[in-house]
Amino acid sequence: MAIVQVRDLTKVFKEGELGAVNNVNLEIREGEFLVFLGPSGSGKTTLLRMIAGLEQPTSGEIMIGDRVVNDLSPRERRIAMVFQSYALYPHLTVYRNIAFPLRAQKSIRVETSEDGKPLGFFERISARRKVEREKVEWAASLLGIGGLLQRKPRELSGGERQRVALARAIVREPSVFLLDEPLSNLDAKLRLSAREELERFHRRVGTTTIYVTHDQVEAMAMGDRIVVLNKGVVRQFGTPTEVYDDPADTFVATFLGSPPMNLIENGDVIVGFRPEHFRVAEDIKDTAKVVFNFKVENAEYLGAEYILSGTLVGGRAEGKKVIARLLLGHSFEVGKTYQFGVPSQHLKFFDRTTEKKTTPGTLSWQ
Amino acid sequence: MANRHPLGLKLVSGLLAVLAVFLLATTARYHAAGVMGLMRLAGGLLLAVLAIGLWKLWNWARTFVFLLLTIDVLSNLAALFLYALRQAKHRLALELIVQIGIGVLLLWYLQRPQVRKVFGGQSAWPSTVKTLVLGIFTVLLGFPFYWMAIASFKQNLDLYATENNPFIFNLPPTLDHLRFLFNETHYVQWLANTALVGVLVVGITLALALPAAYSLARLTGRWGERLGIGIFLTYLIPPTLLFIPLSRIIAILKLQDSMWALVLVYPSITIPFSIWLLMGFFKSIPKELEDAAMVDGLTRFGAFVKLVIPISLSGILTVVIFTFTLVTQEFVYSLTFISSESKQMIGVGIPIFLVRGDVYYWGALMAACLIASLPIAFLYNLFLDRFIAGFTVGAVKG
Amino acid sequence: MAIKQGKIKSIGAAQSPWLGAAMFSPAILYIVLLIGAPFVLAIYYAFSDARIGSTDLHFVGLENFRSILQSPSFRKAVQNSIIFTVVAQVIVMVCSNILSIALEKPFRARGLVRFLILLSWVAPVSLGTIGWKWILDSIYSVITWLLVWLRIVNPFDTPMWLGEPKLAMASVILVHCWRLIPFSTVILLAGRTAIPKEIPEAASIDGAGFWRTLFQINLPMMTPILSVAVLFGTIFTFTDMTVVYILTNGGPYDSTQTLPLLAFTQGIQASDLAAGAAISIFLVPVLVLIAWLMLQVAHRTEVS
Repeated sequence: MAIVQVRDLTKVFKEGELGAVNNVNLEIREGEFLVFLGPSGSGKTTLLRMIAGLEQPTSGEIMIGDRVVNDLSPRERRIAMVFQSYALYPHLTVYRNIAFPLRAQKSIRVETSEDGKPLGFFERISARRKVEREKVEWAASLLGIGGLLQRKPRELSGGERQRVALARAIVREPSVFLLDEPLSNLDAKLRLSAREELERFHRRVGTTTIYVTHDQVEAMAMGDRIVVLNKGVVRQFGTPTEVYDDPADTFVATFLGSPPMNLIENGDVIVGFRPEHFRVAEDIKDTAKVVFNFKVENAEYLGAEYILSGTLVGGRAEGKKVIARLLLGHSFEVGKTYQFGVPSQHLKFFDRTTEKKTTPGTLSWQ
Repeated sequence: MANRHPLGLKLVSGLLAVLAVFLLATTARYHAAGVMGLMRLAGGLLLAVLAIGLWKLWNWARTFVFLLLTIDVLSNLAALFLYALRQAKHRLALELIVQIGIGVLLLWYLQRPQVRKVFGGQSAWPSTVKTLVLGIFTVLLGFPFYWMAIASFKQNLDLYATENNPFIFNLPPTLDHLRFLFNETHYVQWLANTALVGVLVVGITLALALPAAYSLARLTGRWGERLGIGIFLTYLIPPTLLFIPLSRIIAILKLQDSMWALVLVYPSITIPFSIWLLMGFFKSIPKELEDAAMVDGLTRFGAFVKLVIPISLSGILTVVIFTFTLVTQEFVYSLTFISSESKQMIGVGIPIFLVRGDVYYWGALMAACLIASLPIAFLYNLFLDRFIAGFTVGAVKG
Repeated sequence: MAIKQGKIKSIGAAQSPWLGAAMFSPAILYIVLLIGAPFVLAIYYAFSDARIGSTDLHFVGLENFRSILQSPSFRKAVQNSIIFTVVAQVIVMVCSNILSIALEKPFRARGLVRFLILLSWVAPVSLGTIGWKWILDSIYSVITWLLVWLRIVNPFDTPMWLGEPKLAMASVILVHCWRLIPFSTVILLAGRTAIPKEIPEAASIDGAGFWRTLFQINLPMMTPILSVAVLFGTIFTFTDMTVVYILTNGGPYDSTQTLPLLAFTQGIQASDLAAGAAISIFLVPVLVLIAWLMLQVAHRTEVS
């Protein structure tokens, strides 16, 4: 069952200009962790903000559950969102931050006491506060911030702020979670642990999640499926394996993977292969392969691997820049030429004019 | 886009168009000339434009229609309760109630989901209320100036006739008041005095505030900052507390009834705030720039004169405008220290000396106020954001 | 915090205190001579029998205070000063909040609207007040005309805006509000635009409507800036004498008398410098309080 659907969604900020989001169609499954991946300006955040209701689409439809939510305000959509800056309310304690959505949505209703008697006005308030406290403590303990409830946001570290933002999002038990680059404000070391925590958190609560990022590593690591966006258009929509191993066009091919896929023009096709598949020719056994002469121009030693960059020598590929990524075991000298190859099944073919994936063909290198 | 153009909307725009045509036609027939005719013409054209706008689904047209309907409903309500019901005019009350009903019905219809949808889905109320609020406040706050403008050009016969509609010219406009103001009063003299004192005070302020601000921002560290705050606090001490002892000091210095008294005293109001404003400016200049200049061979003071001052030109300009407007706005000191008419400043001269005995030359008074206010207001407006930054004491940052 | 420490040290390294002192001392001297000295003198006069035209000065202790505390004008002045300040500030805060919300998002003609709204703040006070004196004239008042035209007021029994105590007080407050609303509005606007836009967005996703966002998010976050606006507004109203002097000159029967105006009429017009000084000294506690509050605001924003 698709829990969030987007149909022909378009957003044009200024009339006459190119849309920030153009004719996007998506179906997001229940419980899925979906990642919007794209460079800045690709429309991924605009798309997310439209789903949140912070931006009004120019045309198209957004459905959450089986309701069209276009005309609903953010508060009526029953979603939760974590912002890039976390947007914690700086003047409220962590407790009040987490409790804010509960009070704002008036989601706690207590009409009668446990034994069924109707309650008076003040009793109802105190009963509501009690439920609220339980919920806030539940959310806080889920994220391990139970000890911080009386602090103000400015007294917290970056990681703690992120957890408070998540707790504030989860406490209302939303149908959809929207996360807008929540890790980008953390330093590199913290980012890794926060990422793992997010993954664990998602496994535990199982809420449908849409995650926006420009970081392909995050996307690959976390996403059940990835939507690759560029210039407001969906370039590819698939699992991390599909997107990485079988890119739909040259943009996806070069945007994912570090270093990016090598692309070489060859007649009316573009041939692509990943740096890790570009190996010393004699190491490739038991399979068809294409062999090149590779002149090493620069070698970077990264501890566990080498990154070699250089040019192809001879034939129609003469002078094309390529990058190879090799495990240790060989030694290379800058300036020398070696025989490198790519297993045939790892060659990708793209149409030269449309830059889209085409059927594999035969190559004429010489 | 499958959004259908709702029938009701077509009807409403048709209705508007019919009204517009009716208004224009009757204007042409009965009220070919005069103010009422002009107003009808404008109203008719407006309705026509609204009819087209609504038909074409322009959002601003919807907002405008909402605005007109809201004003209509509100004013009818006011008329109903303040007049019709109080005076027991039942027939009128009934008519008003029907009108209110029609207005509310139209508003309700225009807010229906299918109508909303063709206008992009959003409610028309936020923008309507916003426009209404802005309109009301702009009229209320700007009204005295409109009033000054209209009084400046009215003939006395028109100005002092209570039965005339005061909002319009019932008799042709006249330049008599301006002629009187410039030829038979000291108005020009006052303007010149104000300008002269203003220029001198600006000079003194800059000469003292610039080095002080730079020194407090850069050279004196932590306690310089504290001193800066202390200086800012002296800005809070008002002239109404100091004018009594100052009048004695002025007397001792034999500066009574002399513009030099004001030249001496005004900088005490302008310097503290100017130091504060300039400190903010100097702090925003990257220190590396001065360090580079000093490495390149300038002294600290040389770097201040040749580098910092040219860079902060816009800050200095802000201080100039601020000082000048403060000089024109000041009232208490010039009222206390200056007694002869010809030596007065503009802010005191107009209210005190343009009134002969108990006779108010309202036309000339209003012209005098308007002419003196507008240029200052215009200048101040240009530098507004900087003044505000000074007033907020950095409270915005947090 | 650690970064701040480092910053201060680097300033310290480049300091040159002597040059610094040389550059700021002229300004400080000017301020001390023309604000500090008169301030001290004002306090001294309040305990003396200084008069215009006589150079003799005797210390008379609390005599001045005893006599002004007995005068009904003084009591009325204190009362009015407080009423005008408080009522005007409440009205100004409500109106300027509404206006700043309406002005927040850019729209066509925003610059023009802002200019028109600001006119009343930037135009010289005395001149704007004269405009009001004409609007509130006893015979030719446009407000009266409008009310008569709307048949709310009987044309043979029109209100005397500046001639009846209650109406005169209301008029003074009205002019103060008219003058201060633009000032507060632009200050609040600065505070409002300083709130990161994700915060109200997060509130709307969390389910808060317009009012909850306003009262639980925006306004609490704007407390420092709100207090700055209130403090300045208080000073401008409490210490002002221009508006009252021109509009009513304290009348009718002292009903709009204020402290600064009374100090002026006693000290300058009636030549009794000592009494005037003693009256104006009563401004000081309010000023001290405001200065202290201002420092609190500055300190609080520095910490956060």
